[in-house]
Amino acid sequence: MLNTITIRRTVLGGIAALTLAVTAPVAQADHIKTGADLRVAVNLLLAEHVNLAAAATGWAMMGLNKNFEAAAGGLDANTVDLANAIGLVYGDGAKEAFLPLWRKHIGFFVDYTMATIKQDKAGREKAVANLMDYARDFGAFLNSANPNLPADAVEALVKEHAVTVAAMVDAQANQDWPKAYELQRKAAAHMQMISDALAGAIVAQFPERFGG
Amino acid sequence: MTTTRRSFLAFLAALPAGTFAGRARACAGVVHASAKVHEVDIRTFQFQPSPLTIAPGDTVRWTNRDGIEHSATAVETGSGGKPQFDTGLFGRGESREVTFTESGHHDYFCTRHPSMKGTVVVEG
Repeated sequence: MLNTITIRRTVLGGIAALTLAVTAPVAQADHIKTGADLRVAVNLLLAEHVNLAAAATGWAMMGLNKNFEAAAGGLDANTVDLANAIGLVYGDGAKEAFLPLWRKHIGFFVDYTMATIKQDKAGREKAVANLMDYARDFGAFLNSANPNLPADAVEALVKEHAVTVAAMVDAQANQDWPKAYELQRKAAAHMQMISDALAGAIVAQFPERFGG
Repeated sequence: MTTTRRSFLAFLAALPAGTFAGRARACAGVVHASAKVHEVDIRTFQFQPSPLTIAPGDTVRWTNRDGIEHSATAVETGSGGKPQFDTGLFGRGESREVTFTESGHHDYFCTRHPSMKGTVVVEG
């Protein structure tokens, strides 16, 4: 049994590493030259964000710290890729502003996951409140960078993201894996609403640069 | 510094942030005659420009261009553990000012978004 589990863990780790190896070069900012490139890259990065977050919270639920840390590392690499994409469009200052802002919401998801593991109701509620507050910040950030993105619309999308991922974490905690994967797919698909809006707004803002 | 001035500064320090709409308290020091006002925009969660070099007695005016509240709050604390200056949170289109009279580097941040950092360098 132990060997079976070890092999299973190794295989899953290998799949995760392969996924990263395949997706990372596609998502790199220097590949983004046209509006289509931008849309593909942002869609890929945001879907990857959900899938790596799901891996991290799932491993955390199972108490497999090394796997959790590896998934969290992949998640942060995804964050850096997203920041590079923001930097490509809005410059290094925006990139540096985006990084801690994005990492902040990941931290709130970690808080939610840890509170769920500890069955800490108050901790879960605080994490959700922080995520809702964060949604307003993120809406303001994107609206400031690109007035084509209404702050309240972005805020609503980020809130929905938070609620869906939190529900997925709950399913993982209950070891209801079919539901967890259903919600993970739902959360990943929802990101397309954000990424399509983001890519479209950037192309509208810089048609001469990404209009191709 | 006279007792009266100390008392006045202590009184100012005790006032809540935003008591003077648009003008926060000044740092103590020497004020030069030709004081200027320097503009800092807060946009996309950044203080621009930063670092900003000014002369003693000059004023920095922060204007918030983001759709969320920000502050410019000194990292260094003074007596009583209060920040050396604090504009308090202010919203889009609003401005706050601080006059700097002490030479040196004055690092500041936004209390709502602590990753937002800026520096005012007072030289002269």
